[in-house]
Amino acid sequence: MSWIDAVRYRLRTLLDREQLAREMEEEMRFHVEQHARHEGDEHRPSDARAKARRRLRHVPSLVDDRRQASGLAGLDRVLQDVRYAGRQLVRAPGFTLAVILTLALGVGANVTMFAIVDRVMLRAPDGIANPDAVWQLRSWRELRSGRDSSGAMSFPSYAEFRAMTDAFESVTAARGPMDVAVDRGPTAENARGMLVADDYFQTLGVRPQLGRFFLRDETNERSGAAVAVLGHDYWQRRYAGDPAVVGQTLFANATTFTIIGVAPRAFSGHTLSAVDFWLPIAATPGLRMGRDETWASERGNRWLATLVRLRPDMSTEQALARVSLGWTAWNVSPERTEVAAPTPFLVSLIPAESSSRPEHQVARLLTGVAILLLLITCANVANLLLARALSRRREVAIRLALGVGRSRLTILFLADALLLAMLASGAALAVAWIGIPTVRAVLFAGTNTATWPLDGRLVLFTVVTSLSAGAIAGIVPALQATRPALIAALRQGTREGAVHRSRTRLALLIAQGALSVALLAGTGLFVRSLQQIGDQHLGLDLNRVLVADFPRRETGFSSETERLTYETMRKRARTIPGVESVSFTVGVPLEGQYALPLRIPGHDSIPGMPKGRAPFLYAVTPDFFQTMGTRLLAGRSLTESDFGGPAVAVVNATMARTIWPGGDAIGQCFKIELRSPTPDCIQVVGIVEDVRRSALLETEASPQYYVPLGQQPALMSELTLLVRATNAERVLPTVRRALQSVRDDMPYVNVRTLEDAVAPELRPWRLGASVFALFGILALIVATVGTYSVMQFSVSQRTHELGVRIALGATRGNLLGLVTRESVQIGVVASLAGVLVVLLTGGLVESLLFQTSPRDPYVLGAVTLVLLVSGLLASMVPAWRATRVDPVATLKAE
Amino acid sequence: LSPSEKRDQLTGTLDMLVLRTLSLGPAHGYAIAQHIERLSDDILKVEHGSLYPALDRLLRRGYVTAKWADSATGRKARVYTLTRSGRKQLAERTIEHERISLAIARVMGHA
Repeated sequence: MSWIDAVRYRLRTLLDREQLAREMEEEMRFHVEQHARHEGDEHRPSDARAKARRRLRHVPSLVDDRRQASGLAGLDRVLQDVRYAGRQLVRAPGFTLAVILTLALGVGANVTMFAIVDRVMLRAPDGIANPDAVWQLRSWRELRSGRDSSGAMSFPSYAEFRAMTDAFESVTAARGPMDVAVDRGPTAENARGMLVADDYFQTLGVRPQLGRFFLRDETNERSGAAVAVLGHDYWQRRYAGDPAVVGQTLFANATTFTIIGVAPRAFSGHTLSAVDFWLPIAATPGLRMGRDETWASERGNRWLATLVRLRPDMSTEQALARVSLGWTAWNVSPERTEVAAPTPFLVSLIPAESSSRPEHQVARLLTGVAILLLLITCANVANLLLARALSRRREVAIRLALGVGRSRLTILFLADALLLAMLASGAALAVAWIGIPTVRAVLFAGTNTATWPLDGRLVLFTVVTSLSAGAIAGIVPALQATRPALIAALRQGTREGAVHRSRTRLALLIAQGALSVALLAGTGLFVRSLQQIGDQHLGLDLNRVLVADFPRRETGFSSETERLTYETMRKRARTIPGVESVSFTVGVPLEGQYALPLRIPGHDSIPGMPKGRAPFLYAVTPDFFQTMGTRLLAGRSLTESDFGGPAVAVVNATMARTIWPGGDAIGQCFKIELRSPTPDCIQVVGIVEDVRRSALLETEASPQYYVPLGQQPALMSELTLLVRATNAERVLPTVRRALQSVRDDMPYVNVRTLEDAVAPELRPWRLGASVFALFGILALIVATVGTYSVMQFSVSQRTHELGVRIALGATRGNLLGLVTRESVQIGVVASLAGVLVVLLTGGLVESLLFQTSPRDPYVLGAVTLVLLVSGLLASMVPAWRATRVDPVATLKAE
Repeated sequence: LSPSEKRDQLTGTLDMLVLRTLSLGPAHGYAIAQHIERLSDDILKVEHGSLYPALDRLLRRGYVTAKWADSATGRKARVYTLTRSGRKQLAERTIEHERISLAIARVMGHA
């Protein structure tokens, strides 16, 4: 078939170029010979031979002509250009490295963000079969305070949905993942367990890696069995991937579970959080919500996430319509008829469509920042390429003189940029390789890690981003260097004094400086927010206090054993180096407290408090205030002699002020109205400063008081150990180990810093600060490298001028000033532009800041200074080089 | 006619002549050129600069194939052969050519 011949020939022109060229040459040679022979018939032979030889010498150029005329030369040229570009890059390793590194940073940051946003926000969790059909059932209702949306369902509700087989293929419910204590004694640990109802794995469409999943008999609320399915990672970690794990036991939540299977790799259930094991809800008293007798029947107890898989013949609307039908009486108790009936709706498992967690907000912000960094990178690379293009202007002039077209030259310069971009995409992948786990650890700790590959899509994204950046950065210099005006000037061979002051280059330098200022200002604003938060007077030392307790229910200890255990724990903790004091408390600031009904003699209700509310209380040992770092304002603290003595209390400043406004709180009396109809009078003996109760940023302090532990028998439960240390974070593992080994049958002892309680609250600022700092520093590096290389280039281009200046008596100081002045000028303009950007866009981050204006003058000032200093540093080496110019050598070079 | 259209028509003519020559049997480049020059009484000069690009063009379109074979002088030469689709193409070109030459002749005859 002739079209096959055609294709074959075309393929050869692409793939077998060398051979084809040889054949063409051979054919031309044959032609010339034939011609010579033929002519020789008519003319004198010697003449013909000479003529033939002359023409033979031109065979290669004949081949060239032919390729040109046959349209085969296009690809040749491109290959030539690429080869040429490659040689040029090897010849200037410094430049090449600078461009590749800058591009790699900019592109790598974007790939990292792409990977994370893609995985965490845009896709359903891995391992779910046909995830489009799986939805979470939520409900919303209209309250006076606004629309209230909730994903929490009661067990009876779930049971109702489960019966709606005409709407759903299958329905399941789950809670968690949550902390579950595994093992006892020294090997005890906390793992992440998920509690599941019937058909969890069936609904998500997963097959076990090993063994089997739960049977309905095992998960059902009436039967229930102590069986467990392990997560793949946990199986690898704790059981070393032992294939004989099925049938072994797992001691968790004070129950011995039999392992029946292992979930596949990368599967973490319906959420992105890593799961160590799945347990049937029916077998997890204490972990599920509600009392053991009523957990499956309480309608008001809403705690389960309900997941459904739609029937293939059902749309979401149809399914919802059926749910609504069976839902009319749902959860509306007769005595609370003022509450509107909830309306069901379905949300996808794709996080971006259902979640507004701060991490996601930060991820969005981060993506914006990454794109900004890419722009800076493009500006910088464009600048480097431009500088290089100008340094090649002689070559350009020669090429133009030889008749090379402008378009060809433009392509040549673009080829340069694209080749660099290709190389940079490799380096960018390396950056992402490091960046993805880092950002994931900072931003999305505890997220399932098996699902973060550098896959083909990511590589493609990298290459495309890199090439686009390269093309954007390369087009400016390509057009500039081949600009007709410039070319004309070059043809005349003028020493181009004006070239090094190219306006484009200046604009690019200023642009990247300005963007760096904007990013650094972001860092500054978040750091300042954190500072403002740190300056808040909390009434306690956040980072010096450890909080320790163990799950009471699991131990089976008698209350006496429990008390003794805590006592031993206190003694152990006391002896650890670095520990300053130890105290017991019932109720922990920032974590949770009790309130008991109070009566103030002479008052019908508690002054300054809404009806039915009472001040919060803590039952503490004497060294509590010392341990927390809370200051006594008046009166005395609690002492050992108060334990067993008459009832006393220390109140906080707010309680003293609101209940006894006269300032005479000390000596006053109040009563706890509990069981006893004639409660004792509790005498106020001291006043302490206000302590934050539930959050770092409370709008107003709440009344609180402290009684000696044991004086109020109702408050002997939920003991917690407080440990004060110079550096709480550092002694934490030691403390945990010491407490864990107090008894052989000790369940997992939970030790955390007091700071952990407020960490979620601080997270947005911490994240903002670290993210902006990271990107700001990257941007500064890029901008500094950019300024440096441009100044360096500028000096090398001005050698002649500098030589003349030296010859005319310019001092070193003059020369240093000459070079640094330019850099400082650029820095000043860039700073001003950057400040302008911040002033214009500051509103975007305002809501994320704490008591900090986005126009904070200190931040703007500091950032400007940083940029100026970096600009100065960047011009140091070039300036020094300027002073080393040898006037004799440069002038002789003319 | 614009310059590019004119060039197209001229190269088109050369292509047609080459196809016509090859319809008589396989031949190498020089032989093709010779044949055209002889038959046209040396009025049509076929320069190698346009002949070989024309042959490349025909190769790419699949109208001819090429292979190396011994020439009359014993030296290896690249010999071109007309393919079936080349033959079809020649037929179409011939008809078109005759139509146009006739038209031109009529016009010229009246002038």
